[in-house]
Amino acid sequence: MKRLLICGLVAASLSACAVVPVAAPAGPFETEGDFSVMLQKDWSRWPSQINPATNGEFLTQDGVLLNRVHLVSIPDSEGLVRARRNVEMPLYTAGSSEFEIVEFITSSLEMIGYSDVEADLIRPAEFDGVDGLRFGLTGIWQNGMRVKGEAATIAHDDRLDLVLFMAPELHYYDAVAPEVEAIMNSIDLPD
Amino acid sequence: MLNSLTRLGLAAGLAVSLAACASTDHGVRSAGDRPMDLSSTEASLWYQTDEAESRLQASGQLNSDPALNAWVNARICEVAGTFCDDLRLYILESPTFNASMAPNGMAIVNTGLLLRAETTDELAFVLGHEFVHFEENHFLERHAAMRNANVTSTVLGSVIGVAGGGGLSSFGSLLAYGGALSFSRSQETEADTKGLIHATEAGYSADAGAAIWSNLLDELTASDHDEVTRRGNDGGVFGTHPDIDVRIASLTAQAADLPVHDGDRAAYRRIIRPFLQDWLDMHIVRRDHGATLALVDRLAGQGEDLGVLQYARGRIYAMRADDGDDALALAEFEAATRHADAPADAWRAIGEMRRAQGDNPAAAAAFQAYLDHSPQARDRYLIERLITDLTGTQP
Repeated sequence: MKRLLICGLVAASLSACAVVPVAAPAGPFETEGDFSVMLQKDWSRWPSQINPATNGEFLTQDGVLLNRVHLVSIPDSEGLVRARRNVEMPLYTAGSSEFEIVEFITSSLEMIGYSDVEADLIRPAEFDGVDGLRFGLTGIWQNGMRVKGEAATIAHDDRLDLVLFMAPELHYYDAVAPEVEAIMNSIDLPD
Repeated sequence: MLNSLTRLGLAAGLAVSLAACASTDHGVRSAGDRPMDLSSTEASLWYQTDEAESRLQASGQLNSDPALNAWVNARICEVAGTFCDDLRLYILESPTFNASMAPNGMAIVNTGLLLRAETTDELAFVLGHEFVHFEENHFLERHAAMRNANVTSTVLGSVIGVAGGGGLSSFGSLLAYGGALSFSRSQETEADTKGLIHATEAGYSADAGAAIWSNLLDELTASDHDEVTRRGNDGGVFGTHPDIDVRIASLTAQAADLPVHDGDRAAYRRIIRPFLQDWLDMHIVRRDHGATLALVDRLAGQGEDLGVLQYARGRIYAMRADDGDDALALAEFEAATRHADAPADAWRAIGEMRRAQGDNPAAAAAFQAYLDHSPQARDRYLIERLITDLTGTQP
């Protein structure tokens, strides 16, 4: 019994260490959230367990500082940014207006190291037959690098589905933007 | 019992005396000073602040407006005199009330300070205060005081332990660090006193020091958060700054013997007006509604910029969302639109609120007014769709 317990503990410890980025091959991709997307290329997937700042998982081509596509479903009264003690975090509230959703995303980004974050080209969009929102983003990463982004949001069933792309303005944004556009257009919501 | 107490007292006294032998005095600096001995603690601290300055330059959080930077820099030069060339100004986009001048000459002025000052005199007092920290090498002296506190704490703990008072060794640490913090408070008092003299010698009014602290105290008192309210007057033995009401009393007494004149509030407001809305936005999103309302009310008391300030007040009410706040917010947004300086966002906010109330014609009219005031709005496509949905017609 004692040996079994020790083996169990060792196995649990080892498996806890085993969360690493894994391949996300081209094709249908089931996100950790409530929706799936279609990948046209192979990506590296960073599960939420190794993402200290925000809830949800990333896809990246060149590393999360060079391009990242955040895929997450945020329930009512929860945040994109992971909760921290004594720090007030922006929270998503079911029934938020489109403007409040945009502010929720921009203020969340400002909590995790981006500054001067602004949304532009805020526009209605439809995803899998459901009304949503698309908007561009600009900001500055904490090392002074200018970044651009694009967000797709769908508020439904008391949650916010989000695909959020962020990359340095120089080269990396334009290099990956067409693939991200295809990902956003392929959002598949559960029936 | 008396013997052991006497033994403990003697031991503690000996330890404190030994530790106190290490001087904290770095004297007063001269213009153009740089540390010559590169192996010294001072050189190491300069290197660290040089590194911090490089990070600050790349942070993307600096206000780069040339006119504002030139104007604030000119005020620094007025109070710093011959040290002007030793100081490099960085205006940091941060809502907190703060400024600093590091040993290497990195001078940081937060936009939260620029927003709260009502006159150039008040800003000059704070710059004078920070310049005293720089001129008197307070940063280096505070570092030395903390180093001594570390040594004193260790020695005191060991000596008390050997003398049979092991249970009191943590009290020794409190004593040592309490001494270092008391040193910090005395530096702040010195910076207030000498800073006010620098400001008045540059031609600024002596009552500005007490005025800016009084306004800050009102704001802290109005905060929604107990820890912020306590920050005003509950520094105690472990506070790094003196209580604000003590500072106000001391500066008021000092001002009685110095030149006083009316500050030009309108002239100062003209300097910060282009940034007023952005700086207020930074406060509003912190969600300390009580403190931000106090700040907005004070700024509005001047009778200028009411479009921007009433819009800000509306946003605070809308975000606070207590009973009745929706009506207050809508009234403020509507009042804001009656002023020439109203931000276009005020009409959008009215549109949002009317839409939530189900008043589609009023919502559509407000959204259309928003587009009229902001034809290049970033959310134009969304607003056009909303107008279509609300009215069934294209805008």
